Amino acid sequence: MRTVLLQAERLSKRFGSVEAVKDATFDVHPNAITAFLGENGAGKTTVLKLLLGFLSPDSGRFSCAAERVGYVPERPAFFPWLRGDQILQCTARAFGLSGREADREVESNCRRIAFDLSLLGRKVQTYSLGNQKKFSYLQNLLVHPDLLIIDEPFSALDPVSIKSVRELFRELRARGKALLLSSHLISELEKVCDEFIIIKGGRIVAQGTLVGQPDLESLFFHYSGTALLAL
Amino acid sequence: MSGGNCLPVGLFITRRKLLSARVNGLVLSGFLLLLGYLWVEDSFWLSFRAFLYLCPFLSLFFAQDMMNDEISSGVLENVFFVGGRFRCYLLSKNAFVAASGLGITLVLFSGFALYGLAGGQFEALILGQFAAGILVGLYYVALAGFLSFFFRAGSNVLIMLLGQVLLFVALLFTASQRTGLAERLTASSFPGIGAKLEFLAVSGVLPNIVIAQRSWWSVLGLGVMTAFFFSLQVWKIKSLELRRR
Repeated sequence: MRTVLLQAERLSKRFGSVEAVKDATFDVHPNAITAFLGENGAGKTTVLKLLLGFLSPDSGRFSCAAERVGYVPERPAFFPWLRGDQILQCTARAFGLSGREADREVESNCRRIAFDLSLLGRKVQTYSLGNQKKFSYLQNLLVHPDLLIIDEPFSALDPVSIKSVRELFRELRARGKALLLSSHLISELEKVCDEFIIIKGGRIVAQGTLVGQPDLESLFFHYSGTALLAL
Repeated sequence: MSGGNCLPVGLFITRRKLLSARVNGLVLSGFLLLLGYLWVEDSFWLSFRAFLYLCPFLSLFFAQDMMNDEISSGVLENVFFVGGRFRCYLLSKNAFVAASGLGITLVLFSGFALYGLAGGQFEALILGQFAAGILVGLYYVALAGFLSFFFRAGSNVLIMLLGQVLLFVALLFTASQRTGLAERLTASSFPGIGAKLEFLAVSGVLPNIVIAQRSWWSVLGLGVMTAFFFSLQVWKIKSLELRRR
């Protein structure tokens, strides 16, 4: 039986009359990259926010064996009065890293994700969207998360950065970490993911491993019930 | 799910915010200039009294833009705050803002007190006024923090200042009445429960008057109101969700 890092059981969340998530039950495993797929408004971000504790479920529960959970939002936002180096310094301190360790890690991580080190002396709010996204990766890497949850992992990134980030995901998986990637870019997810969860109308309609399955795109269209149009 | 400690994060972020806000620097500089001017042009005693009555405003200005902007801008959806730790951060902000106001006030008070003691111009009465001033500062943080759930940027502070201006105008209008509130405030006479409640209602808008009128019931009343607004904040924060940007 496989080890489960995160287990969600019958999670439900309602916003007024809208039932955003209904009885969502799924597992996330270590040493795996899981694609979390769904159409716009299917409830992906709500599920992620429930797992991260930003929202409280109306019913259901989840257990998480990960000691540290990281999060890269789709559009990261940062305190406008803080510079990049100050945020990283605060992150290192909060997660028990010495200044020297943090400096070393930041330098090597900047190279890994093609982030310009000289930007750290500026306020993060002044970065381009792509650099804000990369900065969010940089901050999360400093945390050493056992589970990294990423909303639209490739949004706003240039092709070079997308390639670097894909490599980063593979490295993290090789180190036993779990990644949960929520995205619409199925072709990109297909290159790195080995498991999938599909959500439709707030319900988890499929979950499993990609081994022995057709391509992720076909799985998505099959389970989401969306017909492929022949143009 | 454990992770980073929210207290050092809260301290770091709040400290940086207070230092980077230009209005805080302007208010502090203006306050020091005013005290200096009063000392040079009039006397040490007048400057000290102005300090005692006005020092709570430092806490009020430090408490601008406490909650709403951070909640709605999405900055709390950060790895710092996963597992609901944004609640601990928001609660700790109150303590750090109050401590910042108190810290600066204490430094200035120490300077005045030492000078006053050296020149024999220090009375025990001043300690009571200073303690009341600290309570007023806490009240400002509690109320401004609560208002900042509903008002963006520094409008929580502006609304409180506007309320004080309106109250002042209202007091001017009642000044002609011999039985009016202004008369009672001047005479420091509040016979009966009705007059006391009226005073507490006024001190809810302009709490600095408690520094002058430090009867046990006025201090207790302001303390209860402070606790009430802090409790409202705790309730709001505990039920808070980061819904949308």
